[in-house]
Amino acid sequence: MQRGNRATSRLSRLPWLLCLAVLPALGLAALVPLADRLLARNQARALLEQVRQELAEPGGGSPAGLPAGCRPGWLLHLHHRGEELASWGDIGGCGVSGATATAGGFKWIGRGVTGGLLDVQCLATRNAYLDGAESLSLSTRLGTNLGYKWSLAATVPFLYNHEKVDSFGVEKEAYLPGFGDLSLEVTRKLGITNAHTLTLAVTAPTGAHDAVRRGVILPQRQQLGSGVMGASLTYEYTRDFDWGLMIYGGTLGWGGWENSVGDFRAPSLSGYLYAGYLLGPLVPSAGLTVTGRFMSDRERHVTTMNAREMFSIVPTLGLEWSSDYLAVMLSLSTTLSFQRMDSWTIGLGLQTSLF
Amino acid sequence: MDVLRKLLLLAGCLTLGACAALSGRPGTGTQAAIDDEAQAARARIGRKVKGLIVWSSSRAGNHNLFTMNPDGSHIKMITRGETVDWFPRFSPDGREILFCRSKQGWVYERDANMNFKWDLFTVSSDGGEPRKVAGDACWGTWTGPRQIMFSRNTKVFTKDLGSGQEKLLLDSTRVESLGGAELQQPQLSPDGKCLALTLRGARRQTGVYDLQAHSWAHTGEGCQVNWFPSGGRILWVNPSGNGGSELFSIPLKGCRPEREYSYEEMRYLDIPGRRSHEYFPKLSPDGKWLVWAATRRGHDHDIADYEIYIWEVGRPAAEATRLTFHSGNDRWPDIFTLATGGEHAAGQ
Repeated sequence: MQRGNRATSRLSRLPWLLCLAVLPALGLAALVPLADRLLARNQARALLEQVRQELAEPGGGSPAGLPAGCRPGWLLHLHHRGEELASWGDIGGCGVSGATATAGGFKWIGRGVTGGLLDVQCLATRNAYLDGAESLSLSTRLGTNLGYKWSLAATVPFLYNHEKVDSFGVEKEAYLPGFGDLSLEVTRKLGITNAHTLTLAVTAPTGAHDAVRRGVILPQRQQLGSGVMGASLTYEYTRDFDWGLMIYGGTLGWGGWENSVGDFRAPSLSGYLYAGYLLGPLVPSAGLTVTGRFMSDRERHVTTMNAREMFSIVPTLGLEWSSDYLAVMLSLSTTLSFQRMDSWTIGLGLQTSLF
Repeated sequence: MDVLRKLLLLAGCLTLGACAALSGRPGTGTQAAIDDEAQAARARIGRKVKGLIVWSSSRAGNHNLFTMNPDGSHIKMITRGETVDWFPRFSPDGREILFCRSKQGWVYERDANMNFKWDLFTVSSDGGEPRKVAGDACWGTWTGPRQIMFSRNTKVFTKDLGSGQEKLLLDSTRVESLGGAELQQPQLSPDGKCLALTLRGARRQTGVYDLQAHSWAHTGEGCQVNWFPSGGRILWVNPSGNGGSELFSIPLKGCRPEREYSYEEMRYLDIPGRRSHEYFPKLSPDGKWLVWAATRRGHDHDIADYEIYIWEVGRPAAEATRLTFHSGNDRWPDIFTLATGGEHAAGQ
């Protein structure tokens, strides 16, 4: 028993180590463009200083190393206009043509597949909680573009949940298969290169929220649906680089009102950052999602979270392979609350674009 | 549940392993049938314009250069070997082609700014033995009958092919507004005063550098800026529109736009239909014809199934004519047109 506890303890430390490894890497990746600019700016400033000094000297002329025909005066002029020129911005384009989508808690990072009338994603995920419960999900996401700026998508999840329930003092296995909550989303692309997107998603209560197994109403996390309408608003910015892409985003989620059995999913705010690197036909990626809840979830009218549990982070590693017709992605993530690891998620996704 | 769990993990690992085992190189592809309508459209083009198109294709392995008539007929392979030959540009008289060649085997176009992976060669437009004209260089274009211009990462050089003398034209590390960016596809304006550039690395912009005033005008996002042969106007690829890309164009006064232009004002060409992911635009020397390549699926410039198109400038976009029908990668076309009654070294 003790050995089992130690093993669990070691296991629970693993995701933190993973997180510690991913966090600095992401932070460094996010700083690359800034560092590039600072370096270039410093080089230019050093050169300008050299120009000033040489001009100040009697008979000072064109400093060594300047491009042929390059007059220092113009460089000084540009230096003073630096802030104005910088305000043009540098949104990408002509780059990796990155594709992202989220379904079933699975964030697709990579090239994806484009060009068809109907984009199809099938995502299989296994979510394992440390207390032994687990959930298998097969989500199908169908999406299509409406013109150049709008797109529509629907996600239908099929779930297979497993939990040990206390049935009149006896612990028993409970299984619950079925369709979850249907999600519909509309996305507006923004900006001249469509690098920004705003997505409104609405979930309809199509999955059972009050399923009973072994004489017990299953806990909220093992139900197939929430029982109420929910909605979320996501802003995302995709920035492409020569080496790959970075995705910055945030989601405001509203899980709906309390449902008929007294379960309630609290509103939340998430921020995320993902980076994908082009490696031949593969795109390895890493990401981090930070989520805070505005209040506690409730289960049968009872508050289920303490203050520390209302904040969670999810480090994710992914690997995508794509061709013109098919993309495959493997993803591994873990959810960490402030106190402990809550769950592991492994996912396999297939993506194509039909017709 | 345990079995399902293991199966899921195994399936994922096996699938990705199998996929990763496949090379990232483009396939050689196969020739597709050309339907009657496309054949008729090509014939119409053939009656309107005489000349030669050169482009880079993976249909014989790593990319080689091919030529064809403007109606898509008489396809001829003019370079061979395992190196990647791409970005071909006709000399002003159309007799020679300047192109970029990998030093060794397969190299991604994403590495185009790693100049140590490339050399510049010329080859006669009817084939023959290529001749190396510049080392550690890429993005070569002609700036005169015997003068070329090319990029070495953050620097743009000109080279006189007669004397072999190179001259530094621009170094982005010494111009604050360029911020040390990699200088991609430099193109000199017809009057030689402005340099159109795509910036990568430290900056991601398209714009024009004034070689006299030493100032940078950021004209837009996207990539692959081209001058109209008459000067005073540029066009480039912007990632928007039907198929995820389209061509933008704006007029310039000197080396700068006179004002900011709206999205609608900048839109120049976006062909209708499903194959509308346009890249690699290039105008003919007389400015009457535009060639480019477009794909229906995928984006990677050197892997996806791009096909070569031609369009008579000013005609409706729907009249763009597809010239190649091959599932290999076809990219970076250039067109040399003959004046009526003219002759061409390659022969027609």
